[in-house]
Amino acid sequence: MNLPLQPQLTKRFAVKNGHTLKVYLETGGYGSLHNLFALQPEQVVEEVKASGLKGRGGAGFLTGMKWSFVPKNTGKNIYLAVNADEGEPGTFTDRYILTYDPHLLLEGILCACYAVRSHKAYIYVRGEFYDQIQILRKAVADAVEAGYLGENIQGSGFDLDVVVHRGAGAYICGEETGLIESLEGKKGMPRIKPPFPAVQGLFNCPTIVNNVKTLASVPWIIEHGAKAYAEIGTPDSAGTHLFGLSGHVNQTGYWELPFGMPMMEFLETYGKGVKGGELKAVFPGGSSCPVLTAKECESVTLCYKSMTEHGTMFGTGCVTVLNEHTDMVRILKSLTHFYAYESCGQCTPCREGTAWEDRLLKKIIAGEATTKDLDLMLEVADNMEGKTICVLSAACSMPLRSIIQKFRGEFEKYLKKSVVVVPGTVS
Amino acid sequence: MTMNVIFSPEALNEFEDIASHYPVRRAALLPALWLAQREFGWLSPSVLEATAALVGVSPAQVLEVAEFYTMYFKKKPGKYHLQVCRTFVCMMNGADQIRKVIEDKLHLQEGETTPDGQFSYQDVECLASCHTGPCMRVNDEYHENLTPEMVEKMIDELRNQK
Amino acid sequence: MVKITVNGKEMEVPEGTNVLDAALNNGIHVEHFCYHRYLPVAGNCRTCMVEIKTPKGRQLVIGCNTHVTEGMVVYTNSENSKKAQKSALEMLLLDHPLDCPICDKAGECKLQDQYMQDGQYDFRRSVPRYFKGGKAEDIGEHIVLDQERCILCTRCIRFVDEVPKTSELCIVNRGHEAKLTIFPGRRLDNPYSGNVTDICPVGALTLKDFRFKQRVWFLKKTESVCPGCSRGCNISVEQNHGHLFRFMPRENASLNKTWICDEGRFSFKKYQTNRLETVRLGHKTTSLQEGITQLAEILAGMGKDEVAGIASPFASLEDNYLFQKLFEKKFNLANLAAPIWTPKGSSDHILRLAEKYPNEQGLNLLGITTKAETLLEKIEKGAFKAVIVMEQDPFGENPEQAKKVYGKVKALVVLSTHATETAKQAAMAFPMRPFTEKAGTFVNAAGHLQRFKLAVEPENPDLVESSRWISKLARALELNGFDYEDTPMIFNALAKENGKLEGLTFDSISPAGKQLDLKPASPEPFQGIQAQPNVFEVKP
Repeated sequence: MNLPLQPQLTKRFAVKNGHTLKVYLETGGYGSLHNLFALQPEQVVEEVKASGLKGRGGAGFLTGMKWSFVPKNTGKNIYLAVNADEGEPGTFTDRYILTYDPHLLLEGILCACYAVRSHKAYIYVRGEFYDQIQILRKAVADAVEAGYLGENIQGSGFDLDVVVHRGAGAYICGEETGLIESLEGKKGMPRIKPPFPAVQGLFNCPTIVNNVKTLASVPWIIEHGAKAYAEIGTPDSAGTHLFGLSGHVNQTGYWELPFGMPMMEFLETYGKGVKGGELKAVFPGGSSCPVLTAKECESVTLCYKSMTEHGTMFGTGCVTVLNEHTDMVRILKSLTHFYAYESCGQCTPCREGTAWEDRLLKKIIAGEATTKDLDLMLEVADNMEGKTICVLSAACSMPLRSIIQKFRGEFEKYLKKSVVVVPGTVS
Repeated sequence: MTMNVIFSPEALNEFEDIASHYPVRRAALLPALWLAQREFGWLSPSVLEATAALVGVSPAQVLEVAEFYTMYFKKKPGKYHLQVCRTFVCMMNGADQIRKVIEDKLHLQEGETTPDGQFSYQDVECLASCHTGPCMRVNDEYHENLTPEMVEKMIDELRNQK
Repeated sequence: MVKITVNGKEMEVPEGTNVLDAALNNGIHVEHFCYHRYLPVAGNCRTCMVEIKTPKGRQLVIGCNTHVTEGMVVYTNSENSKKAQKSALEMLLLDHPLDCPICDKAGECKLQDQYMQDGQYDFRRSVPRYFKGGKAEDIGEHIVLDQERCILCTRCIRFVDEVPKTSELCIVNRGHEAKLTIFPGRRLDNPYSGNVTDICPVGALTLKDFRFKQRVWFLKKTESVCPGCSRGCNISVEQNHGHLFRFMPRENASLNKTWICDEGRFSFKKYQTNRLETVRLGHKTTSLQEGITQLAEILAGMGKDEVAGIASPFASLEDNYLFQKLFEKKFNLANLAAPIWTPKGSSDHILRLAEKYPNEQGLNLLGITTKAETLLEKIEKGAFKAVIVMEQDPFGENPEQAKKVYGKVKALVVLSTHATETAKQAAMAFPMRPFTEKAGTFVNAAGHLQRFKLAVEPENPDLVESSRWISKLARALELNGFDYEDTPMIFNALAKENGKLEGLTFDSISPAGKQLDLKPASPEPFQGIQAQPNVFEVKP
């Protein structure tokens, strides 16, 4: 396992006033621009492709590949939308990039926009991040004043306008087309695909939607080269990631690490071990991932491939640990409530399905359900997944299925006891 | 519906500046609603109509946007709007006890406001504070690593602030 | 054209067709709720899920948003497709109220239809029902909203956004709590509001006027054309036991799509009120035959140039044709004129035209182009002893002018469907059948010929259509060539004579009509359904 030679994402997290332009520049900030403007936009795309950088929002799609989907010469504007709507339960790392190193994000945005020939970027920040929005707005204003944004950036002839856009409380706006709809002044309801955002997105123009950490990873790649980036991490998961840890561990927090660390090592070294009891289960990357049992955690490593091989997803890289005293039924109830509450309500299987799951689980917890209800939950999950406009339904059904399958006994404890009458006896 | 809602000239200027960054005026609807909420405290039907006229969309279109997003106030909030995260990690860390403090001390259920208008309470979903939960926002401020005692103290302090 | 295979059946469909339409247009039924041919695709109901073959195996997609490609293989009835369709249906029905016994939509409800076709499963909702919203709310002049029946397909919202562009409807709240509503204090009151009840696949939006009036499976439906204005939107006249219950729009892709204005939709009531029922000569009522005989005697005693006639843009082509023929054979064609009606009434860039009569172009087609100015002057001067006014109401339209013009006419004969002012003022009034009680054709403002069929056969024996009245009068005047058994024969005879109708017979006219080679009369060219700018006034 390679440790990074230098921190990329967290370089300024412990630096006093690291969020200001002055300190950013003093610590080597906007250092990628020299290489950036020497390249053609298409070369930048190839570089990022070669680096192996994958989308950090949870989908894990090759970033450079996504950028290459933007059609050229359509005569339309090209937009970049930055997904800073961090709302995945268990996830909290974009928050710190926005708080401690906003200029790193802006530099990443600049690189990305140059690569896809966009002159307008919208940073969609979730409404609750009030402080982060103020910090970002100041950072944008300072960058414009100093010529790192706006017209003719650093004399390159490249213009870029960055707009900070405040969300207003909706998890579904973290979905890329939901985000686009919200940016257009509508309800954040995901769009049917095709058409895909890269071809027809914001204001019907080609649009790239990227996560905060994805963009924050780009300047280092441009400055030090794709090859150097690809050497960090694992073959299928290049680079570093800002990993988070929460739940029943002795030390919660976030650390920048290269991909590939074994889960148990992560929990021991950084989490200082499981708190309050033995390890029971882990959400590897936010609540939308299938859970891993303690046994599975012994062999899984923190990278895309290993997670997929263990039947789950890498997700956001924010791990939540559950100890042996956790009631998995209540955990699931919190999730079904969450997804039913956050479902945009557009399409039938998700709107009805998530609420149906929540109501079934309520019935189970109240002690009024039978095995049929429990099995029905699994069937409803199947009827939701893959049949909807976006993947919120899968985000509900996948953890649900994994929890019920792996911890079925806990659910059965809540079920109505069936009464067996032995003929000839008094019950 | 009487039109007694008028945006101040400063607010109108601010809006036009915001709108200039979007190729379509409607895209400035969410910023317009934030502006309106700041100006008028909450989004009553009259305020929604005025916002609709300002942005150039129908009142129904503004209504559905305002109702979709949880941070827009559709009824008058208290001076201190308490929002407690109830998603699973905060729940594991004891968010229920925080909510109990609010329920017992302020006699507030979700969605309610105290009679003197000081406090209102809203259950919210994940605030990206999972490693420092339980978490509560008071208006736009984050308060993390909470214990019931801390929340009790906070409420007392806010009460005394008037 | 693109070759695809659906359920093993090969077919050719135009490029750009979606899979759902491809199936439907080729007799393969796939239920769908949110898709509507004339509205933008929403893709939210998820009931039209079908499988298509891809290199990676079969993939479930929604038919309405998947465009056909060459060689595409589609399965609408495979196990996975059926399972997906059935599950979407189950979810739609989960909290849907069992209102069928009291719901007006029963009999034309997509949920009922799909349940009978694909459903018929055991009910699985083992949790208490969720009550979504209000019941029977009055949201507009014509519309009742039943929130709990709504399946949130957004057809109505897309309609008000795209066609009248008034955007009164919206869906508030997220997820399971989502419900259709209007802005508090405002109403759904645009001139096309009734259309939302047609496109609503369930009984969430219904017409106040039709509420609890009639079960739809008792209605007899007849192909017809709205005579409310010169657009001639295609309609279906729906009646039972001779009582008209509603007009429904009929699809015509290039003319009115599937829309109709509220004025036209509710005009069916007009044909059941204030009708002229009896023949009146002077102060006496009499039978039709007697009336015709007496009139014939009076006319026989007049000179050729002493009788004038005003043709009617309200009456059919056949009515006006025979009127023209009567004047040609018995009187003087120069004394038959087309009336001048000042266009009035609302118009817009969607469907409504200012000319509130259906057949002005029909008169042009027949060559009855003499405008009545000169003729009316002569009538006023007393040049004519008798004037036959067919199906119009000059005394109602402009009483002073009418009195002036017709003051000196001894025998003012009027053919009228309703008990109008003119019917009262005339010396002789004959009751006529309106378009619902006869067959015929109209030519609309753009020169488009359209056919309507007889919907209601009235019981009153004295009630005939204008063309039959003229035939009877002609025979009483001992004229030949007026022996037509029925209206189609009249049209067919006209088609033989009139070059613009060459090759047509009444039965061969397509249900969507036929464009004739006619120059539109109105100064503004006919544009069809057009975009109109959004206007969102804040009402004080």
